[in-house]
Amino acid sequence: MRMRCKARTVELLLFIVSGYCGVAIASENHRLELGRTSTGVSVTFTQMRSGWGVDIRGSGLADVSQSEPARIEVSDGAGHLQEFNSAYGEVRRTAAGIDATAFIRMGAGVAFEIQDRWQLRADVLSASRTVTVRGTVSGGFSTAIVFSGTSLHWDDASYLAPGVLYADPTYDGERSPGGTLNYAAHNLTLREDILPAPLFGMYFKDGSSIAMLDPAPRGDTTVAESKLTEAEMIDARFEFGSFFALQPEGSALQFGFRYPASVRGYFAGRGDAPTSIRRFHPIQSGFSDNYRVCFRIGHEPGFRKFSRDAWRRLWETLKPPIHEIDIPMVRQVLTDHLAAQVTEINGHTGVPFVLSTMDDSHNWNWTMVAMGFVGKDLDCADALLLEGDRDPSPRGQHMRALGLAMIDTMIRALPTVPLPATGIDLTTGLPWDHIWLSPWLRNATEDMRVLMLAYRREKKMGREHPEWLAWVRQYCDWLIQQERSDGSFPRRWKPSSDEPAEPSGTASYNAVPVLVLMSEETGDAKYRQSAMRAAEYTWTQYGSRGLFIGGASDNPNITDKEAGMLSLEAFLSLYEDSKDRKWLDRAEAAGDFAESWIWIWNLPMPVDADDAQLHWKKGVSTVGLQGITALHAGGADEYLDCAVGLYARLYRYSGDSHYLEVTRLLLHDTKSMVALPGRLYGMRGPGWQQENFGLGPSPRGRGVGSHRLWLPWISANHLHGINSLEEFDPELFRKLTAAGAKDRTQ
Amino acid sequence: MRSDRFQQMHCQQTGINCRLLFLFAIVLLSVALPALGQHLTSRNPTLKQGTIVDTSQNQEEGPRLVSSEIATSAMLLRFTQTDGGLVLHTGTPSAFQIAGADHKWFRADAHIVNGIIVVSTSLVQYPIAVRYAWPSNPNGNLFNGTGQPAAPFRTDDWPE
Repeated sequence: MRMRCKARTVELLLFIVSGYCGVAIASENHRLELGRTSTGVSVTFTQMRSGWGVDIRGSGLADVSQSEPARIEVSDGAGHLQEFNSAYGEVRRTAAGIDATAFIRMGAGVAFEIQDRWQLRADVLSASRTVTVRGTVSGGFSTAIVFSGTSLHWDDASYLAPGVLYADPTYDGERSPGGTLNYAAHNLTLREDILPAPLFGMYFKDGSSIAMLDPAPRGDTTVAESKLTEAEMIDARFEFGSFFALQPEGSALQFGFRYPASVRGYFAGRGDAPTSIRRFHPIQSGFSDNYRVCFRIGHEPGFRKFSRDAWRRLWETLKPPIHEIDIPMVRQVLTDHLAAQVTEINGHTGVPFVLSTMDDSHNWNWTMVAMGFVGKDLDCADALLLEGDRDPSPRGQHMRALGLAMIDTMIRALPTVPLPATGIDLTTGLPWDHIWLSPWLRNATEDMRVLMLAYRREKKMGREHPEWLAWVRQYCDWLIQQERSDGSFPRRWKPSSDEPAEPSGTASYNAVPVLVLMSEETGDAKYRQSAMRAAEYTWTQYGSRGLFIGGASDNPNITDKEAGMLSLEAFLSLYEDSKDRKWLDRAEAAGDFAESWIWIWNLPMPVDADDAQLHWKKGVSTVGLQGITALHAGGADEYLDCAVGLYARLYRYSGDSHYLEVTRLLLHDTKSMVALPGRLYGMRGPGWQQENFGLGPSPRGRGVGSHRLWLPWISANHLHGINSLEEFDPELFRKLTAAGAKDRTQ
Repeated sequence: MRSDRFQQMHCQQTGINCRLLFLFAIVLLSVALPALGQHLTSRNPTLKQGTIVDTSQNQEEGPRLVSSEIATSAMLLRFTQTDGGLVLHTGTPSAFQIAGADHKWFRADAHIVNGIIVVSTSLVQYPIAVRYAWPSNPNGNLFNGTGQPAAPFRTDDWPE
């Protein structure tokens, strides 16, 4: 049962604070304007019979307001909830902004004193709230800052939650936080700890926008809480909130921030009906809450621009720290480790698909060897060839030999098109028909692109590998015949067949880089023309809406960061090939999308966690981790470490220094959980790193991944990112790695 | 039906009453499977416990299926009577088939890893049953180390 209580108006004597000319009590005409944004939107406090409320009105923005800004939800700990809402009893202008207070009595000798400071700076409206409990009773409470727009409807807005929802929920899964079921129910509630950045935005049809953000997120939780052991929990240690936008049937659109968090949805992706997870602080005399929430009020020409601006604003606010690391040392450790994993069985050489980071046990599929995506066998080979070029000693030449053998094995094992698979059994050297090694467009083209770059580099050094070129060209000749009239390619084909196994064209960007390279290398324009059609398709269907889909091969056709990263690569390759500015603009759009999956705040591990049980260790910053897919929001890995060179290229071509910051962050902060000499994190030796980590709540709990396995992409991506930056701009590489390397020499 | 004939043949060869054999298999299953499953799942979090189909021992016969387990998009098959190791002849089409919940059978790839037969096809993402050398796909390609062929088997009891 919910009970709505009107708190009494606080009867306080209002003082005019002397000594500052801007200070005044509420004006006699019962309106007090906080200020106006650059677009003319005004923020005004208005007195009604019950007290003071807040209105946001004006040019280009539908009116939103809150007549009862002080909102408290109380739980008795046994499922009984009460809501207490109140207008402000007092508002007054101060040097800092407008201070507003409310006093809510809930009975039983308990009351809540709410003190809010409202400020408007550079189009950002912020509320800093302090809630103090007077009196003690069993149970817990949370508070919220909520606005509603009576003239707004759910479909008037496009919603942004980084790593969760980019306006269109179609490809976000059914039961995910930003998925189709929650969206259709007009109920989006998102805990901060599933978000790469604590941001939730609404872009309205008239071009106006409101982006809510938490400028100082903390995120503390406990092990039990992060495992969602109970639907309702009360604990003073919870320090995370939730953003929400909802429109119950017959009600106005509401949006806001609740602290501690309460959310409603399908947890762990399951359940026939949505359930609620509510977190509260204890109702104890003297207990005090502090939090701040910002509302960035803007006007942009489209959702993409809104997303980019909102993200960057939060980036500038949070200033994600760079944890400088000795990159040359890390590269050496990773390369030595990678070379040690190269396995030769019966004359076939490759890097096993999966190995344990903890011991020498072997999984049932460890003899798989795969191209692209998570296998990246040829990318691994290229890293070893590069080390061979850097190191003329027997160490480096051994690595070169391994790399050449790996490439030779793959070419011999998959000699025909259509491909029977994109991976093989190391024991037999034969194709392996398994979903992970299926003829995915991505898996084949991603590693063949790397092989083309290796071919080009080797050729410059006088080393001819015509069989490499012939093998890739054979595939490209087949591939361009599979392109459909709209420019799209299927995501996957049936083995040794032209028949699509997954007809969706969402991942068509994958074909672009290798086809561009093939035209450049052979002088035959047909590959480039095919690539441009695929890139146009990607842009027209998805990218122009700020949305990229279908990157991760082992997920359904889902919104994911890898789609953004791969599209960035595709558009950049066309820009470098043609110098046509439109491809750079599109590359920026893809880059903006991809970077919005990067964790730019530090989410601490549960305060009561046993560090030995955690996969992500206490005290290690989560800045640099990235969300993976919208389907599994809250899961994280380091896949974008691969994109260091891509953002460096974006920076050089666009001149936008923000992309340099992204480059620097991805170069350094993605190495946080690599086992290095002196910091093994419980793994079996230097160079190991497990694949993924859970940050958002899940049955495994925060800081624990879905397994403790290493897959080749982990090392391939780290090395690819480092090496591609050095190859693209050696001077920038030296500049960005100098501090970490300097630390080593001191 | 081929499955009935297989069961009859098996009983005649071993000279054991079919019902007694079935009971014996159930008892053995209850003892062996938990231990086996525990060992496997401890090494691979994606494995799920499966079904024991045949536990008889006969040194003169080829590999005999002990257990099947569902892994990620694959079936893992364990055998006894391997006599020096399992051998898959790769020159001929695979005699393995797998099916998902829709009961549609697809010819599947087989690979030997850690002494286990891994059966998969990219066309069945969530397999739940496997058949070997079954009527529609009769040419066997699995042998033990002495060259004895595996007998046909299946892990399902679905109507033909």
